[in-house]
Amino acid sequence: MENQHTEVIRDFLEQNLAFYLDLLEQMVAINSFTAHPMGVNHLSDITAAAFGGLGFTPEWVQASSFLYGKHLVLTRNGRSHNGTPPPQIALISHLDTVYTAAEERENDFRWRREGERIYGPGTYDIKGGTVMIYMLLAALQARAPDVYDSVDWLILLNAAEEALVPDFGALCRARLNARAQAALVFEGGENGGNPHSYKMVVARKGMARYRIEVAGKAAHAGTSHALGSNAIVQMSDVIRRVADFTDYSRDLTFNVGTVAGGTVINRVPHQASASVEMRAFDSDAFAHGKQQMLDLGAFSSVRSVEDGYACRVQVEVLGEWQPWAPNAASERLLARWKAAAHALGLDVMAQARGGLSDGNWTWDQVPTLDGLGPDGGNAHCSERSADGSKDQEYVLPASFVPKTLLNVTAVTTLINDYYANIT
Amino acid sequence: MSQAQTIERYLTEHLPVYLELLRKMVAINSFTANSVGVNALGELTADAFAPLGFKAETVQSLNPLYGKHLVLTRQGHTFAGQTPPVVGFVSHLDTVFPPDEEQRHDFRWREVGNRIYGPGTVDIKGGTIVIYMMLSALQALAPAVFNAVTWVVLLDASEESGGRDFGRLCVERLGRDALACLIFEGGGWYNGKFKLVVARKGMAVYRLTAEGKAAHAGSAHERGANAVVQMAEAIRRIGGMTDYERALTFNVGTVAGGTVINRVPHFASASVEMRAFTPEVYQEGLERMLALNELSTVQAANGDFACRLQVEVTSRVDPWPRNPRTDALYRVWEETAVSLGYTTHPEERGGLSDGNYFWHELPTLDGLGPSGGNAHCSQRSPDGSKDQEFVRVSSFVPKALLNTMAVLRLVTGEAD
Repeated sequence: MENQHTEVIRDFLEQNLAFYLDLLEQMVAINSFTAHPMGVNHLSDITAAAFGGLGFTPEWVQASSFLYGKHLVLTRNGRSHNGTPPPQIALISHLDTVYTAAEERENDFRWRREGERIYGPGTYDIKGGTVMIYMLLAALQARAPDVYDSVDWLILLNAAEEALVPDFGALCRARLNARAQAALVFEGGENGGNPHSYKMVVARKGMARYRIEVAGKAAHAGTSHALGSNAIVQMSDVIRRVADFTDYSRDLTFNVGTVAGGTVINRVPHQASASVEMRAFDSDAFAHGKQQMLDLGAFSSVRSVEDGYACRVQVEVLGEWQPWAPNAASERLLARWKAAAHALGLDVMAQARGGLSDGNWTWDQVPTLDGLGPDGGNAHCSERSADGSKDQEYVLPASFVPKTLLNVTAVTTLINDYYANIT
Repeated sequence: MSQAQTIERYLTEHLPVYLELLRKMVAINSFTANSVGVNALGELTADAFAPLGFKAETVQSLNPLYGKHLVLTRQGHTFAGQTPPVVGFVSHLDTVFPPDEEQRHDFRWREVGNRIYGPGTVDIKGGTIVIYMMLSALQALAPAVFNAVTWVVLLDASEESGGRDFGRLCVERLGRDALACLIFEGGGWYNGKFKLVVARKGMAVYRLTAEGKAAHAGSAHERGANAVVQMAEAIRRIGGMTDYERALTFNVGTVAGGTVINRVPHFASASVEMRAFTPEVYQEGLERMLALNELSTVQAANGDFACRLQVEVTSRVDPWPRNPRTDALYRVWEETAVSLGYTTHPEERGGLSDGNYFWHELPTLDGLGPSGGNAHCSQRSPDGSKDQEFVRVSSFVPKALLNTMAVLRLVTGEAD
């Protein structure tokens, strides 16, 4: 893209920024807590209406659990060029936020513009990202209509991303076709307000959650202590082993997040339970960690002295999300964004993150890049304290135009290269 | 007819009267926290002992939620300037069953063969009845001895919740020269053999807290110091401290820690109960637990924070060990039993009683109540694996006879 064209797009975006921020304000005003499906669906309706203006057709797919709302799929198909079918580009965001309506009221957490920041639920995670998808497409439609029309655009909005529902992953994989060039995830790219540098995500950890149950044998602690088989002591032995599974050299971590057991103090406890979360970047480390956890099911080290009753350990996998491992396809996309940044006089830095995103579902099928959303901070925080040690989620509106310009530039080269390589 | 036979016949003849008094006592719910019920039982008890010449005094439990302790005193006559000897009888008014639990399990007075089921029948209203039987027999059949002794019956309003104030009250009212302080918790009785309690375990309760440092388990795992792992380390050590050979046991009764699964937990807590028979072993157990205070073996991987464990003693009841004064009392009962054609067996029990609080100040013997079973149980199941508290009717007269003859031997200092 020529410099002149870049400035045209920048001007367009800046002229319309007030409109984009107004759209964001409307979105933020709707509580779309994951488990508030009416709010999520309401947000989905206004999102579908907004993208309708860009020629997108909505489709709704109910999340597998009716506790959640409907996923939104928006499509706009491009035209063939000289018999070459258009490339597909997926733009991924989500509808839900982590705050209940009550929490928002309690903490007076709502749209609030203060200096360089706009505070509000979902401003950064991830309604600001959805607005940046809109900005990307609106700019192309208005100022590069040939490019805009030569792509099959696929927007995927998860109704329950914060609950990590696997059915959205299946939906993404079903809708991505063989001509998919990229899955671009619009999670925020936190960068402390630096206007010249942006962080992009090329890998994310995988996660597995486990529940451990220990069954022991109850007994009166005073009169028949030796008949008891203490489930808490057994659990403690298990917990120590789990703690030792953490291997920082392989980026494999385990967290025993909760433990509970026993009834009253004068009774040898017959039950204890714990929850464990495991994370890893690498698929082999992930598989190894899971095997170690499952092997604990055969472990027993505590028994009653009098009758030899052995405690039993059970390990259950509550959920499993494979890592988005560092990979060449994500690196190639990153290189494209770096080149675009360079042309704009900006810098892009790669990041491997601990938390999950919908990129974990797509990376092994389609080249995936994440962190295309705006700069901001305090994701998942609704509280603020007088001393500033706690502050609410916010987005930096000054990041919307430059970051979108970066996205527009990189996406345009992606499309141009697709056609160049075909012909 | 010997004095023992006379007393046995008197007790047998009057048994229906005693059981009627027991029935009235059992009909009153006297759950520890039901102070109205406890106080009503106190009044009924005071009224029953009044015809025997006992004056009633009530002393509020230290905890204002509980009822009033009852002290019944019959002052002995002074002979030739000699202060009469003092003998104490200890029982309690409260039971462990709330009224709704009794209703839910239809747990009330129910006679089946030799058993009387009902709340407190053996723990301990039946024991209070044995006291009444002894004193009424002495009044009727040994009036000279009855009048020559100061008898003090002390009834704890909140024994099941273990306050210290009642133990102090016993020592105050009986004085240090009391001949005996006799406790009427239920006692085993099989084939003419009576089990009497000569020692009880001590107990200490600890609260453990582990402080760690919270962190996001996904993005900042290395900054977290896991309090649950630190607690697990401590629990594993405590699990290995039980020493059955020395009758020192530890029970980690409860544990809790953490908030959500994706956060390194910054807090965990656990409760531990320790029991031991001898003061030396008990002391050693205390020291071993307190040595865990400040235990710090788990750190954040980046080295910024080390977990800290705190150990706090939340309650402490020292053991009532075997001791010469208890053993001397036991021998009086043992010899008396032989003279009656019975035998006795000294029992060292795991649970606590009021004796734990005053054995070192007063000669103490326990287990002098009737025989029964299923103390603290209100449920019954069709397969019999759970059954309700009961007392054995046939145990009242032999036990009251043994106790009466032993007390006579104690105060007169002679064999009959």
